[in-house]
Amino acid sequence: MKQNRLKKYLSNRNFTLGLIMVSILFLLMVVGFFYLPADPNKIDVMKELLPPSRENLLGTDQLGRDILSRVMVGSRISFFIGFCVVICGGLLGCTLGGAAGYYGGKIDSVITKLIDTQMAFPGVLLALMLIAVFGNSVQNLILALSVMSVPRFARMSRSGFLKYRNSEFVKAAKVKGASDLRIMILHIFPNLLQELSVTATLSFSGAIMSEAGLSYLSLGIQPPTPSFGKMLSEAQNTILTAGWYVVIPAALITMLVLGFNLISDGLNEIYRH
Amino acid sequence: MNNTTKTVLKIDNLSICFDINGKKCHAIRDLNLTVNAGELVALVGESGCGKTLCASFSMGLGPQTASLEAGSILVNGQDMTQADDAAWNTIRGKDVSMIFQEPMTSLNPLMKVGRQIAENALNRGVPKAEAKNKALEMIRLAGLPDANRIYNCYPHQLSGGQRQRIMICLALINQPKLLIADEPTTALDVTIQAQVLEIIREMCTKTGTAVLIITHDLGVVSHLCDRTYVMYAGSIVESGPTAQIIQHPKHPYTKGLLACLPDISKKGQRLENIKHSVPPLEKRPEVGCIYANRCNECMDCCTQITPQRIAFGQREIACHKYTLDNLEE
Amino acid sequence: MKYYLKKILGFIFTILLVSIITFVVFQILPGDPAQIILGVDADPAQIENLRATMNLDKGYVERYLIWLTNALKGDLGVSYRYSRAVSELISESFFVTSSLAVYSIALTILIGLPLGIFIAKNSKKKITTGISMLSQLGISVPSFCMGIVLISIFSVNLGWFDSIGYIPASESLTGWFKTMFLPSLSIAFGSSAVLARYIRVSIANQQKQDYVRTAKSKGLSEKIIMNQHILRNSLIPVITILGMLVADILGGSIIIENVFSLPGIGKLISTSITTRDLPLIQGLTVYLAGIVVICNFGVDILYSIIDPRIKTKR
Repeated sequence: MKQNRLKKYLSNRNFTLGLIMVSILFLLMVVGFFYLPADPNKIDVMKELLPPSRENLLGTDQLGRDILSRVMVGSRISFFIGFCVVICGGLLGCTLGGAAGYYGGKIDSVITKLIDTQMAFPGVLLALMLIAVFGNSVQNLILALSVMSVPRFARMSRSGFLKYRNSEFVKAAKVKGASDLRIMILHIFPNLLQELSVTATLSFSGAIMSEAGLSYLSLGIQPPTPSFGKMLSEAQNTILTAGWYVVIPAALITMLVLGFNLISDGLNEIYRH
Repeated sequence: MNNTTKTVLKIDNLSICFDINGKKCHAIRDLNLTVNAGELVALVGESGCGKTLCASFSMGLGPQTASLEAGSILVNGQDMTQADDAAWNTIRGKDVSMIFQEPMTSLNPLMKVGRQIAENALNRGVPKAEAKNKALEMIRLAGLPDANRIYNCYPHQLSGGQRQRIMICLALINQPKLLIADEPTTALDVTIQAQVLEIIREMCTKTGTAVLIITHDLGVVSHLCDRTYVMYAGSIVESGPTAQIIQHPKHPYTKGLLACLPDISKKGQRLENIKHSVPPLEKRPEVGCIYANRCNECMDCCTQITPQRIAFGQREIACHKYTLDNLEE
Repeated sequence: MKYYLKKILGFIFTILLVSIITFVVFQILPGDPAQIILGVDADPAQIENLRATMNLDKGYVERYLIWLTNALKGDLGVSYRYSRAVSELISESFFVTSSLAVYSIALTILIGLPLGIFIAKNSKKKITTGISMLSQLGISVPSFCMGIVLISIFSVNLGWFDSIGYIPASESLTGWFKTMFLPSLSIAFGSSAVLARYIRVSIANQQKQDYVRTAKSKGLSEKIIMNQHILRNSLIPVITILGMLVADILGGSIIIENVFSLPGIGKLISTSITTRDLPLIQGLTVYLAGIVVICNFGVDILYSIIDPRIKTKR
């Protein structure tokens, strides 16, 4: 039974392809906890902007730091931020959307209006505004990106709760005297796990993309901590002397985002059939 | 009609299959059906017995998953069995038209209904102004008040009955030889059903169009149609003049259907029903009478030998209970 | 008419909501703005003076109302850093950003619409799978990555375009057109893929509708059915997406302007944040949000023109 299920997932081309992309980077990150080819922050002006070689598999950056090591450490930030944003944004979004869908009426119209207003707001602008107000730190970055991902979760869970709130099993639970909270968490929520996984993977890729964008603007992760976005902006400065450097962070960001998007697409296809 | 003998639809030994998990399953088996010019014919049966599939194939609109295995379809004397979309397009809407069960969704929500009617004439090279006049004329014929206003309405501004009338106008504007009406009144209020049927009958008489009405309601058919085909699980079990079938049903299935109809004379009695329901495609027996498992009068031979059609007078029947001898008594 | 009135009321409400949220967010800011401007070791009397001129001694509601009335008059305060009126700074960079946005939206529609229709029409051919994969890639490449890749290909390696720098349209129209092409393309690459995808899904959904069967029963050719019936119906859900895309494109242009060093609002925002120029940030936020809300309002109106059902229902 379990094997059948696995087979069903792996037979989906999008899902498998995405899983492979994400796994490669994930493995790279895990290996990085135990072994790094070089100190990612060790500056060596003698070795600046060396193209990939046996010694530095991905070359060195403008300060002579080993790019592969920086990539291995930098992927931590991407995964960490993505993970935190999905958890925080998901919790907040599902709660809001759940309340809106389950209770309906005034609660619904207020929450929906708020979410619609936020949808109309460019996400990056919102994140920028929050960072401007609260200052520049990883926690604030996570906060800003979480707020950005709330509407997506809220919409998903609202429509889910709306669909199930009048279903037979909910009525049955009500007759048994279950509390609203119990019905929402134990009875309705498990039915939304499939859609939740689709939304979560999509938000994961969105968070990674936004983090990279903000770090690129020097408004996200602060140096010397390596992050893909920052590496990209550093690489852009050296684009005339070392054109190959740009390719590495650009490809990594794309690979990570594409990977999660493909997984999300794949899951969606699997659940629809 | 002077040439009543001319057939506008002739389906011979038609068999249609669906591929279900690699197994070929018959949805329609060895079906014969004829509609003569100007005639009103009914095709009656429960839901799921292949009526709509049969109608779609007569329009070249069958689902792509279904394959035509044997038999032929002649529309207006033209063999359309192997016709492709381009060939069908030369006669669809012109010689043969169709109205559908769901008037609420069968019209394009973004196009004024008048234009949707006129479009059918425009497609046959009628000039714009003339097409519009024709459409207005049809709307008037369909008994809709204030044709000019209706012409400029969008479908959502009309009621279900009004939309079905628009569908009728649309189907009849080119004065086709044949109109296929697939459950035209099922989705409508009971009060409007009779009106719409009456309009179909009236307008088709005017345009000289033959009608094939598909329905599950024998009551609808009884006072409207000249002839009736009773269909069960992909096959015709009984056919003949409507009056004879209603008054003297022969096939146990026809009897069952009639017994299910509420009737003033049966007041106070419990309504009959037929046990079980139409078997799904993959569970239909390859030999024997398909109706055997639901039949009250089932005999041993019924599950082993497929009953052949027997013709007597204007009627045809496929049941082991009858032989030519006991029928003519 | 009632429909439009309702829409306009909703529009005003949203603008107010946005202004309140922005105002509140900037009020919970830690620290005294007057202190921030004058520095830690400023004279207390001086700070008191500045607080009075900045209305910081008044209540929140009063301050909001003052700020709102000023904003409505076009006065969004004075930038700390540039010591100039915020509205002036915004109007200077407005043209760059708005033309970038319009350029990107035009490219998005120009690429995305035909592509989506093409994929939908040829859903069974092999080439479609290739295009779908490409569009998936397009959605996944962040616009700034795309921008840098485009710079490295077309400016650095091929030398077709200048990589950075901005030529105002008043100086040279062709020069402007050329400098804006790569930035717009970077944004349009992703958003047109999104658009194409939605169009494909939308067309596929419409093809299953009953009215298409009716159109077929009229003997209309595939082409007429697509052009006369399916396309317009498919565009309705797509318009909603277009509204969201406008917000996305504006957001994307903030970063893209930095990639290509365009002197637009995005560039202004990132400088204002790094220098903590609060009046400027506040003014920019309200301004941009206002533009997005106006665009969405426009989309709603467009919606009602295309779909006759909207005005009578609801």
